[in-house]
Amino acid sequence: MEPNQPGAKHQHHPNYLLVFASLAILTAIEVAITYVPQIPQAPVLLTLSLLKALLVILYFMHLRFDSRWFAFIFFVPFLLVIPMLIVLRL
Amino acid sequence: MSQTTSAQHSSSTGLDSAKLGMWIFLATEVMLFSSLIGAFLQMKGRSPADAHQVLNVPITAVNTFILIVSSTTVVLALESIMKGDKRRLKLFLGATLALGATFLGVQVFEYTQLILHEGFTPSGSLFGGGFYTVTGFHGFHVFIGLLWVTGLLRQALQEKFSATNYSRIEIFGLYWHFVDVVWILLFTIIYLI
Repeated sequence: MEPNQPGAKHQHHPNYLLVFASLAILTAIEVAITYVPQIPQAPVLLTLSLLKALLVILYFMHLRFDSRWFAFIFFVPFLLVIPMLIVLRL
Repeated sequence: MSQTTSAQHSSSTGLDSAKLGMWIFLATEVMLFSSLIGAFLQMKGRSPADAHQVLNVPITAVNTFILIVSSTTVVLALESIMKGDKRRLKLFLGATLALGATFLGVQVFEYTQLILHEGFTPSGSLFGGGFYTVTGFHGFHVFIGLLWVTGLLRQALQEKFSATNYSRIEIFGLYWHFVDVVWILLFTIIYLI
């Protein structure tokens, strides 16, 4: 692969350690929730899990700051995936 | 982040070709893992309700944490080389390799415990079949990532990266983070729910 162009550096440097801390805390909360049966497990755990996934995609994979085309390419399959998972779960 | 990091590899869209290729590949991976998860949910629904009780949540939670840390070390490796810090690049790539290997080691340990001590085999139940298929497929992706990062670390030790040449680190990072995203979802769907 050819060298990157000088001056074409990434413009955004999120606080990666803050993202990491958020992921770690959310994971701990997820595990803790499984010990509290009064909380509706599936919806809460899935929401937390999707939040963690979004943090990684938006900040670690830089999709929030990158070309919208990459986001389009990545998220288009979900138009098929989400109905498929709903149908399979029913 | 810039749309184009290398003029030589720009596509007609103005996007970096390597990154474009990786994002298209990841889109196909979304379909692959979604199909596997869909099949797993079906198999889980047809297994005894307590089938997942044999799984070791605390150990896997620690393993999830390890993979999250490895994702952080990859992004810190990229940030380091973008600043021209080759020493930290090697450090973080080495850490990623160690953490990824630990994750895989724990997974092998988990499989051993489940099969030998719990009698939880791939052919024992639909849940078992789904569990080993999905987690095994993910583990294979981790293994590929380990081979990849080993190659990158070797190149880093040969001083082949710089503040103006880091695309290979960035492309690997996209793959590794995606593997992390998949595990984040699998951990919840398989172990917690």
